[in-house]
Amino acid sequence: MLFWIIAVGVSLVVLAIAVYADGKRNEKSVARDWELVLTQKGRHELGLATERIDAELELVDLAYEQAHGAHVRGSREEALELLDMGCELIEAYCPTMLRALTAMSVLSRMVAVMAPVPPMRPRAFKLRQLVQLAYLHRFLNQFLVSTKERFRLRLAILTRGFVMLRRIVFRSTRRVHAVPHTLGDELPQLDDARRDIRTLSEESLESLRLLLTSLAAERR
Amino acid sequence: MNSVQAAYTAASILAIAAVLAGLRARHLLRASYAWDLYLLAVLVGESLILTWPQRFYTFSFWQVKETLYGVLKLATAVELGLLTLGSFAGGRRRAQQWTLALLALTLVAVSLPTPAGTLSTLALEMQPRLANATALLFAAVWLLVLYYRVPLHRIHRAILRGLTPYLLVFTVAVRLRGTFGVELLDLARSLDSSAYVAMCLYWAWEAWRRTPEPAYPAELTPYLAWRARIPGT
Repeated sequence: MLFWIIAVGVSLVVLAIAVYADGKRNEKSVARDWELVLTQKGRHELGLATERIDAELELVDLAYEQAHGAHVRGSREEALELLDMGCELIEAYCPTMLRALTAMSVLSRMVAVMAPVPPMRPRAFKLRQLVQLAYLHRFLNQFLVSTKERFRLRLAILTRGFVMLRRIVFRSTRRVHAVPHTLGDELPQLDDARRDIRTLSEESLESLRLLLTSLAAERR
Repeated sequence: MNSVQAAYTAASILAIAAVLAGLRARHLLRASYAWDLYLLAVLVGESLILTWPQRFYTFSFWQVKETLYGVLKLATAVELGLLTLGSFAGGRRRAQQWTLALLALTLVAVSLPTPAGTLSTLALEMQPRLANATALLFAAVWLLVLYYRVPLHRIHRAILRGLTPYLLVFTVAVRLRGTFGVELLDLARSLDSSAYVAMCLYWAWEAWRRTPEPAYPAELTPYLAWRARIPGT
């Protein structure tokens, strides 16, 4: 009797998960995703994504460069406004990258065989927290055998990186607002954040390129 | 057989006839051969009970037909797994692992001791165990299809959506019958019959409705075994 109760209980849980996931599924969206990974459309999307990311990051660079200029000129109010603008741009940019990484994670399930996935290089980052994250990535990568698992880990680390970076930028900007004379101290950290967001974006695009390349290799 | 049971049986026969007619009209009979056989078996079995209750409304016939239905449902689960995941290397490997695990679990479940009693007690013990295992097999195929985002024909999705929850209801109904006997017999029958008729009506709706299938890229065709079977996909 107990075994039966457990069996039915487990079945109900499994059924609930299946019904929930099935309810969220959209067949047209599935067809679009397969078109993305199996046809030239994927490469075209990669090109568009690269252009879009470059354009957004240029705006971020412009805001912080102008903030530097304002700080050097002694115009604190202007510097603070430009820092706010930079912070808002990064806050708007990070969720977009998080959604892209989630979509890539879904697409990666559709690939039966993956190409070898290198871990991120700690030296590529400036912020201490992201350097530590990259070291963690290298460490965990040793324990994963299948390339699919390594790819999923890479996406998880990138996601974490974007979340951390957004928090760092937000806190740093708040600190400058709270204590204006720390502007000179916070600007170098924000510069490092600006460079690291570009590194994280490049690593994300590299992940998408790996995904599409491995698909092409698998079909051959 | 009382009038309520006769009504349920008649309703399920009509609904299944509608499903088969719809599959024929929409050229979907090749979607799943095992499922077609299952529908046919139920149509014949229930028709025999309705038209000749003195001869076929017996426990021995119930045992035989439920065993046959159980085997055909299991065959449907295996066929669906092969059609949807068979050509994907990673998906096929995972499906094989889960199927072996579930078959081992089924073996354990069937081997567990049963309360001493008559053959009817044994049958009432075994049926829900087998039904539960089949439900888990369907659920495993369903979850793998959802996890890997494998394209699925709407008829296959209807089979999974219908049979997986129904088998759980069936398990509960048979268990109620076996544990509480006469006291909850009517409740168990009503539960099982209502769920079954509802499932068949859903299948009839899916079989008859006209809806365009999503346009999958041609590169995906070698991976989708069912596309060769179903015209227009």
